[in-house]
Amino acid sequence: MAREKFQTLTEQMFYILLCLQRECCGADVMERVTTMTNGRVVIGPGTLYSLLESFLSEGFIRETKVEGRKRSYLITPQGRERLAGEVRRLERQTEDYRKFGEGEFA
Amino acid sequence: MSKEKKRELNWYQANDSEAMARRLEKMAAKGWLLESVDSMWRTYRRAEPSSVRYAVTYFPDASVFDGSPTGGQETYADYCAAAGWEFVSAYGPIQYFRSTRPDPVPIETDEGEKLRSIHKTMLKTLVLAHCLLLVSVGVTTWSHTSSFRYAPLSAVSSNMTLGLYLLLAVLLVYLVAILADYFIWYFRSKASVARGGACKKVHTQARLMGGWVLIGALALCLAGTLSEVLKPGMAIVMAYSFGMAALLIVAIPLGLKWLKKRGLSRGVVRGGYIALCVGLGVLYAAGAIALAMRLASTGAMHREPAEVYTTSYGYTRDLYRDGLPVTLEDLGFDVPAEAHCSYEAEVDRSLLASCGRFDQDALEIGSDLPIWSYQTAIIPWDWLRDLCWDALSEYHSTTPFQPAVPRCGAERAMIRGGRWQDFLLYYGDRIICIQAGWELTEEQVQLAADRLLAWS
Repeated sequence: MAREKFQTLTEQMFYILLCLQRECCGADVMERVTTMTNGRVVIGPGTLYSLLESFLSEGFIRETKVEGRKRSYLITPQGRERLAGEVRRLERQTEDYRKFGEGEFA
Repeated sequence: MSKEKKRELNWYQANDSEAMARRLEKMAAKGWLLESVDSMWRTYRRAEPSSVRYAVTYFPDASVFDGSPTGGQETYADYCAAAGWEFVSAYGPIQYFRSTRPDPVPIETDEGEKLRSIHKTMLKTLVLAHCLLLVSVGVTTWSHTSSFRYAPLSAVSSNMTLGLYLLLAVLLVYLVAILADYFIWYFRSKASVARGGACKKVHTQARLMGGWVLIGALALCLAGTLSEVLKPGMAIVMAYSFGMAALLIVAIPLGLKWLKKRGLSRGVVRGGYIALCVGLGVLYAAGAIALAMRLASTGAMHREPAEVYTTSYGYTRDLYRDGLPVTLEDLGFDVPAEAHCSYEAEVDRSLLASCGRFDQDALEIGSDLPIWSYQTAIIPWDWLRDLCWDALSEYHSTTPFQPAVPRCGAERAMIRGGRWQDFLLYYGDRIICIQAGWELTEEQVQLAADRLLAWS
């Protein structure tokens, strides 16, 4: 299920992983993603919680610190690989667009 | 409940988070803020009317057996607080949040994740509970179907039994409909989310209508039960049943609340809850058995006899002197006074049928008077009469009924030989069953049939 779920990353998944290249506590991820994307991508707290749990169980992130109820996370090599894979997929799409799409629309 | 508090029944289907949230927002606008929720009720407290946004979310890892929020739930609530959502209450995995911000970030911003949370929660709650109830109602229905095959005329002529059949049928349809409705919604939502859309709207209105139909069936069942309160012993049986039902309804939620307050682990609370349910169930069954034995030993389930006769062997027997449509005397038997015959008639009438059961029984041991027992049931509905006919003619303990040449104006007839002679006669409005301890002559059958056809 999880493998199928992460075959392609949604924007929200992508930015959470991107954000967690630096250690960050869960609650701060929402704010950081909003700042990174100038408010274009907004992550709801429920969705954030579910995705962090899924990333943890899939090994894409790891828990680094637990201070009371505050938990911090950091991306793992496996998570970096998945993020890079997604970037390659998006680049290929962009290249294809440039190759076939732009000419047609120009 | 003081004027500062208000309770409301939670009718919404558990997956209809949108409708629940909109309802809470309407109540807030009227000056009622949600305070707490439990399995059936929402409690509000009086406040200034305000524009408040509510969100109902699902946390599948939580359970109704948790005494306090899990670590995960607390983290979830912290994330929500960071986004401007205040935790209000939760019942198991269903959580309620509110925000005073005019346009807060939605708690769920990914429809796929939202659907996954809802589905995981529903499998553990709505689906599991309804499947268990379905099995329980199915087993009860099956046991009543067997009873119907054994004594169909008693069943159709009792408003209480008919009410129970109606309730079971409506309950079965309701449970199947709820499960089907949920899975249709889930698969349609899954397809919609896969196409980049949102979860589908939940049809709470349909569930509400189903709920009203169920309440109607329950009311009819209760009315049917109460219509038989004057029967001997029934008042005690009903008092016991209703009393125990009330006790179960009150004791089980209170017991769960008490267990949760002890600060015990989820497993211990669950175990305690199951033990409480099983214990109360055993108590109910033991009480019912004790009551049945007591009623049987005191004869409270039988109406007052005309006389209690003591046989020459010292046994006491109830003797009735009811009027019977056809007696052994009518059939040419010499019935001596020393046989001390009891003439017992029992008539039941329901919305669908009237049934009379008649027995003439010589109480004195050693009397050579034969068995003479018969019943007639007036059933105006063809389908129901056919159903009863099939059940009567198919059911047998040792010797099966055999088709016989219709006699005495009957449309159909069945006969069963053996120690006694049993007849089943089918007419346009009734069924007649005769059990005789001798081989009836054609004239005797004709007389009995004529008298029973005249009975109403």
